[in-house]
Amino acid sequence: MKLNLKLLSTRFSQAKEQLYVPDDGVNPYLLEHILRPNLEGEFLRLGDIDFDAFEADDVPALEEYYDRLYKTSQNLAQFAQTVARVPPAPKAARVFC
Amino acid sequence: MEDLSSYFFHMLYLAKTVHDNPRLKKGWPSFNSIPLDEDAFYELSMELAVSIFEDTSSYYNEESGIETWVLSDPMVDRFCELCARLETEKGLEEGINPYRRNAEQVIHEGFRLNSYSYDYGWRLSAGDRGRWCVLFFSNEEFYGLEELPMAFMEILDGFQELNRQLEAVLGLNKIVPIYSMPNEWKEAA
Repeated sequence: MKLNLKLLSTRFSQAKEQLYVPDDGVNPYLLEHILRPNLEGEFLRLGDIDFDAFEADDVPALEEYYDRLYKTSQNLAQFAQTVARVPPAPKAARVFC
Repeated sequence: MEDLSSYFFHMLYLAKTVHDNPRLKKGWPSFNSIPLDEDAFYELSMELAVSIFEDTSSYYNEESGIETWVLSDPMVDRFCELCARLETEKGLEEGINPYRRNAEQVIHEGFRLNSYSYDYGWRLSAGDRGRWCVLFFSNEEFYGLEELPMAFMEILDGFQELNRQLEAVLGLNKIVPIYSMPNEWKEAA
């Protein structure tokens, strides 16, 4: 398998800056104050939560968002692993960058 | 990225339910110190399940592997008393009292769980021995502990609503009764 790093770099720089996993419909409080800290390994107690900032029905929507996010991160990790496995190959002729 | 199990979200949902129900949160001084993690989830589910009915006891039969939950509450006692009063006043048999059928429906609907390996029943008749109660049976393959608090709450709320209706039809409050009590019932009884 060959990987054109220059092309990959170009594609990355051309990509629009946007959320790959849209968070539409997800309660912003749950996203910023509950999910994000937990994903970063922060420990929360029930006393830390503002329960008036969301409805019970917002929780399933948060879980669905997390599932999509997790799946995407798995795909990304798999891609990174694939790139890492590609062995470096020398060019046939000397090239000056 | 940290891997969060579905218990994390179940726990958040349960905690929100407790927070929004003053009756539950009032009797729970340690609520704020409970961690939001999987280990605490089972503890919270169990504590919540046993705190909804005023008197909850469970018995485990080692031979059959079946756990029996006995759920009693003044709300259930009141329902049975009001039913007995209605039946005496109107000359009704228990079997044709619509409020008893509605109570059974409340229990059926409350115990529609996603898990399996469970059963339920009730002792609400004047002829039943011991305290009136709702019964829940689970065996070792039952995995729906987290569903029980909501189920118990729905059932108890259902009894509360039926009591309001019974009090209305008995003239004990000023709410208009849902069911009119025709004289034919008395004749049929």
